[in-house]
Amino acid sequence: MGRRIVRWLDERLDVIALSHAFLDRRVPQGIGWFHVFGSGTMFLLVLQFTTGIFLTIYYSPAADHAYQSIQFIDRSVPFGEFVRGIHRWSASVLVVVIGLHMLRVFLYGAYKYPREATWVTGAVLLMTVLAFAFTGYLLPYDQKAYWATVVGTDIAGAAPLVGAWMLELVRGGTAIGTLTLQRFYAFHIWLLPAALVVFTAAHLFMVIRQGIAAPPRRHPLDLGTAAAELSRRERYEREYAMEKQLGHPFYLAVLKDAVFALALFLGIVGLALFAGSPLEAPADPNSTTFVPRPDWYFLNFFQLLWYIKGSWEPFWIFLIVTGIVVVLLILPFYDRHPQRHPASRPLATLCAAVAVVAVLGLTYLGARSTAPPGTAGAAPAAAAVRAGAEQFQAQGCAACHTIAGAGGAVGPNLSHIGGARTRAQLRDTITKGKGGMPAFSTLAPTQVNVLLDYLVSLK
Amino acid sequence: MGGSAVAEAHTDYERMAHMASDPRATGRPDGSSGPETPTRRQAVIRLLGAISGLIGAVLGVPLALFVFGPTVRGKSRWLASVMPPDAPLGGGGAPDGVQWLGRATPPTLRARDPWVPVGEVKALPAGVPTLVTVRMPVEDGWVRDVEPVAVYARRDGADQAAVLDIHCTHLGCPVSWNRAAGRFFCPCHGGVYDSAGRVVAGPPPRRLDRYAVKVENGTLYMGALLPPDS
Repeated sequence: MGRRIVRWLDERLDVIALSHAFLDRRVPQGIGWFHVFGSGTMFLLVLQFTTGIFLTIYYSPAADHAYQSIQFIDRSVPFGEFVRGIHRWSASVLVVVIGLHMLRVFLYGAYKYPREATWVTGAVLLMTVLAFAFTGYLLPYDQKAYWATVVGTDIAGAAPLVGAWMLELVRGGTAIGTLTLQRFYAFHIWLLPAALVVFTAAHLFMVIRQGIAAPPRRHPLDLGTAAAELSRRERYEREYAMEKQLGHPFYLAVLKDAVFALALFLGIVGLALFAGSPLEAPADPNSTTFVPRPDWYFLNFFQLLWYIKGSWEPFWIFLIVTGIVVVLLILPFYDRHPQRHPASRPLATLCAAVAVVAVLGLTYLGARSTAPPGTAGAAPAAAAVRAGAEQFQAQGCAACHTIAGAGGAVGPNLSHIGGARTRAQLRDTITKGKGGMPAFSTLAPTQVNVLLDYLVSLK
Repeated sequence: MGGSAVAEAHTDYERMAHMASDPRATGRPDGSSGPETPTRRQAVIRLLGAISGLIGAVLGVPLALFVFGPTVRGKSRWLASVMPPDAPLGGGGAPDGVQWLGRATPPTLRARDPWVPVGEVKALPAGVPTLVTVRMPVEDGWVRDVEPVAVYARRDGADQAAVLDIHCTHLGCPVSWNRAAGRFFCPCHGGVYDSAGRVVAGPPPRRLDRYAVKVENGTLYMGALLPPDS
């Protein structure tokens, strides 16, 4: 019966031959485990679409109901927290897998001729997914969501010239409220998915049209004696045909893709079940004790803001953000050297390594950045200088100064200040101020003395 | 006119088989070239493009302005001329002179009532900022409500006071008053302010924003946010 239906359908649609040709077509040698990230991204997008559509059955994008509707999903809907957990965790995993996909394409030089347009659509897709992450983060409307959006939109608002204009565009007004939530929702479930579908279709069309790039060879294949006289296109086609001849059918690669998708799925299910999807207190615009932090994939950027100082800060932030976008979009047009092997293009490989280290490092530093003074425990100190250590916390010194790995980065690190400055020098700096350091002239002499006891003990 | 082969063709099938084999035989009475002519196709595609462009432009401009929302209305003379004035939802409306544009961190929703009581001036401790939550009528899109808005109020002298916004002027994180240090600290990137809201350290570009204040019969009232650096 089933077979007859299939035959009936295929007589009308003629797709079985098409799908066989698709699965049997040869792909170059070495298409293997490093190539699973692209299809893994696709799988996670499908997972996001599915769970996201179901979440809209209960979610209410009104500022005075959003949080309660999320609570309702978590508490009253069968498997509500599980479905929301999958949506939330696969968003995080998606950012990681896209990063790995991009890194693989970069290291293999796969964005070079004739796949420049594929890279550009991929870069647009990356930005679309980050926009998804940013808009989706607000939707639960808890404290974390609200304040991360305050900071995130203020960064846009600080941009020179267009800042105020962008802020209103993003917030739908001047403040974050129900208009903001409603438009984030509209972007998150209509505009961005539409963009995602269009650009994913274009991206996949190009991947299939051009074929998967062969992994780069340190020593390229010998294209024959007449190769020098061929055009670039002809040389490429000859080389790619040879690579395919050496390669294997596509369905063998699909097998690896399927295994990876299953691994991703099981991992995400595990996270949804055991880590859940924690909800904080409802958004409170009047809280003065909350410590705003973005979701982990924006922590690197959040941390970067520590290192940009001065009145030109908004300009630099704007330059960095637009710079990254432009560099990503035009990469295949300025890096046109035909050499694709990572070892043959040390500068590009070095750039990738620096970018990876910078992103991971900033994320790590951002994750362990200080709480505001008064909320963190004092750094461990010997009994004799404990009073000073407590003063150090109480006076908010730790907002700017790090001691033993805890504290801010605005001022100098004081972990070994006792070896570098005398007691008199330190007293001068504390009471009179120095550089960016304000004068703490209101401190009582006893307070200054216990502080100095503590500081000179730091060797 | 077609050749003798056409005259000999007796069935549609034969006639069309002949047409397919002879590129000149188009089946048109005047023998003119067929609909596959590149220039005609080009013209059709261009026409399609022009129609799409027209539809896109006529729809696109209103949709772009639609995305901007209500705040864009007051900013364009052209918009003001084609749209009716912003009608408040059932009376009331934003106070005159509330300046929102160009502000990086608008701290609260749009206040509807210019003056809101903060409390007795005498009850505020002198020189020490106190976190006060006032009830402020606000307008957020179609939502009109009386909402709590937290501010730092500080009395200076007998009947003078200042009301500070709680948001760091760097990126809008909420600053907390540290009594021991006598300073405001921002939990995000190390912004520090003194009790008057002046920047003492860190990245904030300007002092904490202040609200307009007035004292009447011993009661402190707060009004609209003052423009930065006033």
